[in-house]
Amino acid sequence: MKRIFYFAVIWMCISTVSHAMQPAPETIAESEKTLFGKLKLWEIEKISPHLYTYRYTFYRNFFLIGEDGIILTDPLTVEAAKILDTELRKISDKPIKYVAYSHSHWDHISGGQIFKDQGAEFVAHQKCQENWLNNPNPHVVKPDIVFDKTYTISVGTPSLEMHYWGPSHDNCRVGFLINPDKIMFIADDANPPSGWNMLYGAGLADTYIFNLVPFFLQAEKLAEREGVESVIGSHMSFDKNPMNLVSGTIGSARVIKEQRLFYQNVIEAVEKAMANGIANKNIPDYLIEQKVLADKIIGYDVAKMKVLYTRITNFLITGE
Amino acid sequence: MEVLLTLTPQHINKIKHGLLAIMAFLLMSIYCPSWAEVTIEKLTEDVLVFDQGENRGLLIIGNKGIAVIDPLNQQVVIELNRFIAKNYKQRVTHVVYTHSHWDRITGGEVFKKQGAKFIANKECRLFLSGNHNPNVVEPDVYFDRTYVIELGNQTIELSYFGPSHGECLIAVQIQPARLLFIADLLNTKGPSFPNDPTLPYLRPATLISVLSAIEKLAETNDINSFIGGQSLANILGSIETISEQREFWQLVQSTAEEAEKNGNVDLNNFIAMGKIDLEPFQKFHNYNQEDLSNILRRYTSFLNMGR
Repeated sequence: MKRIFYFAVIWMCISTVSHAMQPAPETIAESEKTLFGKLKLWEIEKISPHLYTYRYTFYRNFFLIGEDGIILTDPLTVEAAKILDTELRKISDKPIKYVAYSHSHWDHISGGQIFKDQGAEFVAHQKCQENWLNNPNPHVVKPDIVFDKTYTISVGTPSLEMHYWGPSHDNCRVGFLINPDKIMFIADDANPPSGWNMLYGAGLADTYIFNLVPFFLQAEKLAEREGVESVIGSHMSFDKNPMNLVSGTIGSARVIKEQRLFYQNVIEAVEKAMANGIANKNIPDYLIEQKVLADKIIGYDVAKMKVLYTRITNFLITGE
Repeated sequence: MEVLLTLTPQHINKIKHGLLAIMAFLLMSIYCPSWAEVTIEKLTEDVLVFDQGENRGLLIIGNKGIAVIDPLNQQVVIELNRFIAKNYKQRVTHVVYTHSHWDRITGGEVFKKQGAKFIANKECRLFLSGNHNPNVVEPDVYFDRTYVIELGNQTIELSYFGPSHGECLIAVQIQPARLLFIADLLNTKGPSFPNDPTLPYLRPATLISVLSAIEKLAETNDINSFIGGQSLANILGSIETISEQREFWQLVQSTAEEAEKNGNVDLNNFIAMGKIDLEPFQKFHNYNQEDLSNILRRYTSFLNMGR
């Protein structure tokens, strides 16, 4: 009995500590307009004395305010950037030094001109620049600084490390490490509360599947080496059921590993079906019938899984 | 009557297992292309097509050497090697990969050992370097825009115009036959819906300009026909198919743009199909409304992402 009591006390301590490890976001500004229901169109949350997140519709970026200025990330859209600029001036009078892009997709990185006009330098991976040259968008500000493997920008105490681990979701997505908070951000994946959540785009358009697992292994390695406990989600997400939308601002860094396991398990399931002699064209239906991963993937959606399994089958046939 | 054979339960089990194995083999033969029959057909004296399963490759016979365009797989390569040894004095000097997809380019090791040079566009390097697939011989040459192979009386010109079907699909021009080989993107039957409507490899940002460039290439070089990479279709297709296929993709893109403009796109990027005019799509081969919904979904994503 005594042992059970001690175990319970230890367990309570561990749970308290692990919960305490996640910063509690504090809403410091929000729109009057709603997106739907009670969900505000946008909100700004404070994560630490110098780290803030900004959600606009379902998208989120973060920004850092240091002694020497401000680092912004992914301006999202022209309208979102305009709102952020107005709200930013209520929080700080420091100059905007940098805008860092997480990847090349326009839905995350449009609208930066308002910050460019204030003298901000834009930073992106070099492959992103090639993408924007191939398909320019007048709302996307071209980068002033491009890099290959890693790049760090600093505004005094806070700084932002950008790590490139090869193509993954588009060919230039980088993993962000926020210092000194030791928080990571991987756009479009690893959204709290779980990396096992059903994918939004099951067709994995513009995704380099061959490098997804290695990409996340590198992200996990960085998280472990740097003692990262938390990640900021680039999108709102859901909890247990796709209908239960949650903010997903910040959560445990375990979602990085979960995201890797999600992709790894789906790929392995298709590989196994192929090895068992299931005809390629029948693999999606076979895996769905067998309920493979049905109890693991949160918000498991048959139609989406069919698309995802088809995509992975094609990948294993073609290598792309 | 004399009993010639007594079947014990063990015998029955063995027969059952044997029959199952035969059935499995037959099924595998149907579905696994590497076990399917290889056929070789002369299109001209110097241009031969070889088919296996759903795929088609080319042999170009020059008096100074032979080029294989997409070896497909190991079984095909064995058959080709046997056929070439039997019918020609020349050896295989060049192996061209039209793009990076493994289902068209494994098994080239035999030709590599004979000293053939392997060639692909430089954008294929991402998928072919570092031994992602040990059965794919890594190219010796990664070219940028164009590469010319001289085989004496045959000339093969490889042209890259940007990402289209994957990162590195090229157009293969064969002279003096005045033929183009386009391994994917086009169906010799005519302008068509794609086989896989989720468009896993499509690069919408550059697709139209690539098709326009191929049209121009054909026009400049007085080419009237193309060969497609799918064996289930006719060998030759009309060159007009290229512009008609470009028009198909332009129609897809403009329909997606219009739907975005009119607010007919849902949170999952699907277009309200009831609100679009389907009639212009119905003339294309393999028309299917459900497929169109998925195709348009890829394009609404593209319009949001730029990729």
